[in-house]
Amino acid sequence: MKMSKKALMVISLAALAGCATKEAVKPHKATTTRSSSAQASAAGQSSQARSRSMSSASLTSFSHFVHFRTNSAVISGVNRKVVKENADYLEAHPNTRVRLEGNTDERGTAQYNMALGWRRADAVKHMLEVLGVSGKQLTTISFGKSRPLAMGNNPKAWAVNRRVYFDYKYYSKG
Amino acid sequence: MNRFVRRMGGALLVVLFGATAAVAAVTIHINHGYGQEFPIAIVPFQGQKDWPPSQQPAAIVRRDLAGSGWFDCLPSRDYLSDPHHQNQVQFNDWRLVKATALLIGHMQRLNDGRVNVVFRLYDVDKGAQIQGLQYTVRPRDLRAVGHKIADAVYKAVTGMRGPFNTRIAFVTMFPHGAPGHFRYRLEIADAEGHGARVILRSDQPIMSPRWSPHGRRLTYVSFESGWPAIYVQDVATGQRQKVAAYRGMNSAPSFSPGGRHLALSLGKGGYPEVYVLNLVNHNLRQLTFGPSINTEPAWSPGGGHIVFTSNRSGGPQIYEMTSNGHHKHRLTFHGRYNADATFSPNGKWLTLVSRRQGQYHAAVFALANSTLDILTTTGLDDSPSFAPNGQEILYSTVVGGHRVLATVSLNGRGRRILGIRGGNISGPAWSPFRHP
Repeated sequence: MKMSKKALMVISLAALAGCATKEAVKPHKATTTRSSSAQASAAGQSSQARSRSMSSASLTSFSHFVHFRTNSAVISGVNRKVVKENADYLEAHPNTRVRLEGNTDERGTAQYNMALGWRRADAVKHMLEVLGVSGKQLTTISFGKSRPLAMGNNPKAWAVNRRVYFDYKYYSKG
Repeated sequence: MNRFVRRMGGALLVVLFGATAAVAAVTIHINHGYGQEFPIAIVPFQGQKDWPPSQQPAAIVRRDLAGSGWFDCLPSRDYLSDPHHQNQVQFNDWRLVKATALLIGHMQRLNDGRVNVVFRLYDVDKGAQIQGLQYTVRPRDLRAVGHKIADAVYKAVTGMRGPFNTRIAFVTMFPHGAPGHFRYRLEIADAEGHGARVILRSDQPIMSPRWSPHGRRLTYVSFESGWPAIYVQDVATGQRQKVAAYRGMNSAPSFSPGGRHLALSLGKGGYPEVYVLNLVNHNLRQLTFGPSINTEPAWSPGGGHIVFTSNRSGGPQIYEMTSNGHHKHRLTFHGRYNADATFSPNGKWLTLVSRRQGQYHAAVFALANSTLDILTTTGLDDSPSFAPNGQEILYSTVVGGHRVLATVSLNGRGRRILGIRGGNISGPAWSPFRHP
């Protein structure tokens, strides 16, 4: 059952890749203080990270950020790998809960961005579920454009801010 | 007026002798066509030098009128005389500098600590007084007096009610801790952004305040519980109520013109949909259906219609429906991003955010002929709302790397950046007129 689900996902991902343009944003460096090593392994996909057994992967060994194109909630390019790594972790740790936090850049209106951030978080949740993660482990929220990580008014800052963040700490801090 | 007098703490308001007769006798006709500005001389009031600029009535009047788009405030260095009292006015001095209206006045601190402010407004061509009033107020109410005088001049000249003695609500955010973390404040200030008062503080986002029809309450989104919820807060007492905290998204509240309902966007059914919440019996009615974004509902002044943003056609566009959710139809077709529409007080226009060549502008949409006019040259505009007289639009934008509040007049000639210091300022909403 799980296998067929995964096969289905591969097909749908291929379909997504087909319609996505090739300007997928790589996970940005210096986004949080949380894990520079996670950023490096996600962006660089080091062989060390790849050879590591997924079931023993620690929370800091993969990125917690999924990025998006402008006004889009489609997960494309390298970001599919980020979701997959988080899915593997969540499947290996069925008692872990995570809050998926959708965010947008500052362009456009506050409340439309609220909805857009929600669509992004839902898109990540949907992909995780298709990959086999239990919905009970997942909650979604959107902050719209109210919590920018990068403060500039420029394309680089916007790319950083169009994100879904896997907040593993939200439920562990009690 | 009663409410105003009460707010001023027993202010004295006296119509100066002769003014009533003059109002009846003098008529100033200006062309209401766009682009016409009315040249006015504003003489600094006698005695105002003892006060900081933010409390000088003539300075406040000048700023208000200059930003309105209807007045050409002649520079005081060109004036041939500086009258403060009735008997000092030589109308020829003002005809020579091409003023058609003249504002003079004086102010004096009284023994009880209050301040007496007197103004007179003249029609220069006819050599007659249009209006004269005096106010006796506490020093903290001097700004309100300045706005009242600006309102009086505006009304006398344009025939429309002035928007200056009103308030704005907005959200400020200050970085706090790690990137992505801020402190948020919901604030209220006068229409120029002065005298800000914080009515809510949180270390979680606060968004999109909207005024109730009489300006006594605000509704907004706050994440203070960790999740988005919609609140209604009494501005004067601070008393508040959580009115919507459904599973998922709770966003974009706006009061119906009667004040008994909120339109809002909820995600509880899986997709962001527009609902109407009855604030009295808490009944909830869903108005939009289907797997697209439906948000940013705003009521027509009569309450019969609601406009909202939907991406059902691909990108965000403005749609209209009846307030029962019937007869949905698309209004905007120009450009691929039109969002966050609100009605003008007369119901003839919408102000909204429209994208052109990647730039997000405050814009005006005419419902009669579906024309969409861009009002700004800035590219990161958000949250436009009409002044209560419908002649100006307040919005948030980025100038010089800072998010600030700005106004633009409908005729495009009056522009101001509001003087609010500090923080990242967003989500402004202009209050309705003060009601008695």
